[in-house]
Amino acid sequence: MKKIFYQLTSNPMSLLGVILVSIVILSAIFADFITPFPEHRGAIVDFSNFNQPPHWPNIFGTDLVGRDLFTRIIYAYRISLILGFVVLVISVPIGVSIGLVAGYMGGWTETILMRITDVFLSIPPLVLAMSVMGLLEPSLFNGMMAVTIMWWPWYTRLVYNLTRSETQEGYVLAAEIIGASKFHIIFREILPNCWASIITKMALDLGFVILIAASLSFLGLGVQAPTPDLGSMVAEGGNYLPDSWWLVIFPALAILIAVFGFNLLGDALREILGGEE
Amino acid sequence: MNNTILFAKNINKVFGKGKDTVQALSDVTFGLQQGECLAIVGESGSGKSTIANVILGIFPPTSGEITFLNEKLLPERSLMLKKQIQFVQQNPLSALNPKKTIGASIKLALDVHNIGDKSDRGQIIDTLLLEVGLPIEFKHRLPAALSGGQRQRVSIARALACEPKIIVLDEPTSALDVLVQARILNLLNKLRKERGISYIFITHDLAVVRNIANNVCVFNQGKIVEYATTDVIFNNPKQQYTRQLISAIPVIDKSEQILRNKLSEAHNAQF
Repeated sequence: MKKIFYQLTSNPMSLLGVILVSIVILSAIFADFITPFPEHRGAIVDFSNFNQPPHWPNIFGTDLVGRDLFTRIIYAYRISLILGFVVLVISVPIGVSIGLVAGYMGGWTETILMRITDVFLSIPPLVLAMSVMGLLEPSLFNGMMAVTIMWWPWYTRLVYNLTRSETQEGYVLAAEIIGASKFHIIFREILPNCWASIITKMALDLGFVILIAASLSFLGLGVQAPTPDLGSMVAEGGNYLPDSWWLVIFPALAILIAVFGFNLLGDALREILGGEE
Repeated sequence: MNNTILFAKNINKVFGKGKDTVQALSDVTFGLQQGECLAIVGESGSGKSTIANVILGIFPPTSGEITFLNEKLLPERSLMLKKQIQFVQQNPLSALNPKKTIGASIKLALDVHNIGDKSDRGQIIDTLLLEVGLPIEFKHRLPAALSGGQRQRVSIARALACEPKIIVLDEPTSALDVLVQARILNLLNKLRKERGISYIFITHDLAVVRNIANNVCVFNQGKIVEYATTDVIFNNPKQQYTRQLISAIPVIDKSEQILRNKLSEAHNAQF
């Protein structure tokens, strides 16, 4: 653990990744203490100070109803991170288990599981999420469900391929000859050899999940007002370009920082842990 | 043959379907005595690994049957039968899970077959490691921290942990250098005498066979071409093919042989 942290901070690009990710996570956790206007995350109206360019104390300016944009952005980070975290916590175990079982069992089990996975993979992710959101009511919870449904097949693919190659290894044969159960071989022998790749992909994906969630709410299918959300902030602010540029630029930069940070971190982890993509 | 523990009768194995078939084994029959080391030799593709896989139950024979202590071995084996026939693989680098400690790899065998009390298993692992000539501290190490020979010892310890009657060894020394090879063969000889286990020793290396085997099965194109004691095979081979195999062993001349014997005597006296 210490060694991994040392390696992460010794390379400039991965150090940048660690810094950006720390900024995102820390500002989301300590949002209440960072901003002077925590109440601005909700439905507040302040017409004396609406649509102002960046100035002190509203360093990113204010939005169309006078709320502090900086406050809105860090609370939006909190929502995005919760969403990304929940999506991965649900989709990774599902995807990984299906990939392991399909890769190890082979035969009919493999054919059925992998063809189902292929069906999900063949639909463009945003379209799938949009149709799910179209069926359900747009809300944070349904947004998470929609993204989860499109996310697990990628883990199935990844783990399936890893399992296929691990199954050829002598230690799997050794466990079979000793008489270990299939459950033991799949989850205790093969899975530990897949962790490096899974963790790497999770770090990379946290950025992409945030991006997809932002895309959904940009289209009006995600988190609903007055909950702050980066995607809907960009969508709303786009109507007032180029005069009220801060309405778009700062939320967009916030998305960029989060996605870029998690990508750098994922790449760095891949190099350190020796995982594959 | 009253002491026979394993008997393979008329084993055939055909791979593939329709026109595109390969007869990997044809009409293979042999017996294995308690405490015997039976060597199976032959060139690559002669079917020697196929017979190992059939004995281990990795795939069933196309026809013929194998009996273990007068019990017919079926493709789906009980845990009890799996325990009795264990395996040491050729490649010690992949035979151990790189993410598990040596102790955990050996413990798996004890857990699966419920050998010893849970609290005693640590003790059993220590004993096994000492028995194969490894220090006890190794149980906390990962395979990456061990050399090829040490890993092969761990594989042997893991096979022994099941308390089997038979160990199938598939070229266990061919991935090791000569000196380590000799030590592993000594270890195998010692274990066989102490524990009364039988070995099925698959190899292409006749020099190794001379060191360890009681009987030799010579395989060629899936058939047993010669089946005799080690002495007969080396001193009076009947088949042309066996002669070819033996003549392929690198030899040293008489003076070198005398020197070698002298040196190994000195070595043995030292230890």
